Amino acid sequence: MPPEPPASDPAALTRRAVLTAALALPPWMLVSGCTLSGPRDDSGSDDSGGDDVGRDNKQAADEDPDVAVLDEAVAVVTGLVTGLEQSVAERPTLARQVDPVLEAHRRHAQVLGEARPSGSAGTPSGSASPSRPPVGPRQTLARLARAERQAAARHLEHTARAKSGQFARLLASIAAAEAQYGVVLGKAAR
Amino acid sequence: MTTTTPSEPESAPDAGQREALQSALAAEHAAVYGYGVVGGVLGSGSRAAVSSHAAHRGLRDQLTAQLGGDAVAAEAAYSLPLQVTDATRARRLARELEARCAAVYADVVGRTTGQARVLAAQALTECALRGMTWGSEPEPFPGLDEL
Repeated sequence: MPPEPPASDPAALTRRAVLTAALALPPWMLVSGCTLSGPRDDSGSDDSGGDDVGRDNKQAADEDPDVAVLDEAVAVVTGLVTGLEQSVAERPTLARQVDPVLEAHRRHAQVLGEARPSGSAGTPSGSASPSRPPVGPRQTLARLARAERQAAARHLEHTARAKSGQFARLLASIAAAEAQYGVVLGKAAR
Repeated sequence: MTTTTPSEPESAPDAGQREALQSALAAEHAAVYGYGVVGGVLGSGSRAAVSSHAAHRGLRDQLTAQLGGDAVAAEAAYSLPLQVTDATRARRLARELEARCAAVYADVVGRTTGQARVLAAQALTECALRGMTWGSEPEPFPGLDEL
């Protein structure tokens, strides 16, 4: 055993040890494993006719209440993606600022999609935002920044509601990312 | 007339939650120490250092209050992940502190419910934003090392 260094030596007590201890948790599931619930016998009916989707979703939601939260969370991300895509389509010069954010939200959508338990219906894809009157690039960026902040607030709500801790952790991280992108886009708008 | 039904006793987190909050408090003690070093190099003229230090002290105090009597105490000193010899390295340490705290809070979110989880989720966002004030790039999954 190494000799105990004097306590006055900053290297003596390892801060690293403390943080490592704080992180020494059961290994968190990797992305692909982050489903809302454990493997589940999918005995529900498989018919997914248009108007029955709601019922199927409800059934899935009865089994796993997080499916409803997931649907809402995905819809928020889809809304952001749509808004960002429209903005770049309207103003290609914004691609430099917008593309990295768009890329991040596509990852969010992907990882959230992987969290969906098999058998539950997917969210109807986000409706296209209403077309807006053309505005200047700064106004566009300011609007996108606002959308990021609103999405962050929504995802924080979802974090609080999620039953699964894993899922909540993912949602909280997405909310933090949106807060960051809100700042980036807000700065670009100035 | 509204009657409050205490469906979830917010002042009494269960053992698992307490453990999670203790891990957050341990990380905050370390961050407060680290920002002491950052501030020592950058000086009191660095608004970012002053406000970051204050933010982590605030979180530390909030967690301490929630945990009550058996709140984990700070170590006398911590070894830093890098030698802070100049302003550039001080800023790098600050980024590192925020990234580590973000990871801790993300894990705390996963191990708590109710108010404790909300606190952790907000703290995660705050760490992510503070990291940017120190020059960190935004990232798709702050605090999630596996993504």
